[in-house]
Amino acid sequence: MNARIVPLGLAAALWAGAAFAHHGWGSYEVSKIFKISAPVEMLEWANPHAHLMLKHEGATWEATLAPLSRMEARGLTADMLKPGTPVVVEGYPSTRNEHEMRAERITVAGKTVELR
Amino acid sequence: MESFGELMRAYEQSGLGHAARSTTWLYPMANLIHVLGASLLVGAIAVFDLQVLRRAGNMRALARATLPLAALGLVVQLATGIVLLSAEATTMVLNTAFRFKILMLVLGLINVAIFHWRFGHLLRKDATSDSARPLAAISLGSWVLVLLAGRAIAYV
Repeated sequence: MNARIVPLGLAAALWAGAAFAHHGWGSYEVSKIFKISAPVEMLEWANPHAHLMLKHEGATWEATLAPLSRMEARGLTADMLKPGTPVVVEGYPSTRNEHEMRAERITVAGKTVELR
Repeated sequence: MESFGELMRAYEQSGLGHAARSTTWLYPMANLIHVLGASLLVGAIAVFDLQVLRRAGNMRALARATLPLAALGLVVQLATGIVLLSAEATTMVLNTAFRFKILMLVLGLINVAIFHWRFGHLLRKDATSDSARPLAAISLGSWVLVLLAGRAIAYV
């Protein structure tokens, strides 16, 4: 019985393991770092990650920020990112969702906050 | 009858979902305790299953040492998992790793029920059973996959 279960378990583990190969920061093109300078269109200040909507080259981009606890510990609050506030977001485009980027850092009111 | 998607939307839009997203600490605290619960649950189950697989004998002593911890771990996982899922239920149920995790969780729980139905009497004896070994192997495999799939949610 074990002789049959062990290979099955191994096969299942490999199948699940294959899922690891794809993503994390791996689902963002780290070689294509770029900046968006635009006013905040919309802010979703929420766990597990906050999101900003910004206009860039005619499209609305969604910038994925960091967990709230990390940003607040580094002095970035929701009040600083009210709609209309000009920001510079530097990050990487997603390989999976068009017009989504993972932000490495954000500059607002002359203050740059690292998000990783 | 509401569709499953509507049910998930209502769950996500509940007070719990709002609190998980909008407060700074509820989500990360639930996440931390979810890691603790996972270590209790899978650690205790692994000791139990490996001892059954090794025909270690005295299932009563083994069960008394491990099963309360596993049960505590399961309760912690359900309580904290409900908080974590509430933050993004509608998208989470589409996540491949999450779906696989739930599948393995159901397999693990069915296996627990079958184990107790067929071998529950052994848990009160200073003995072990060869015929319990396949179920121990399924248990170990399914709970380890629940653990790995849970961590993989962030990467698929």
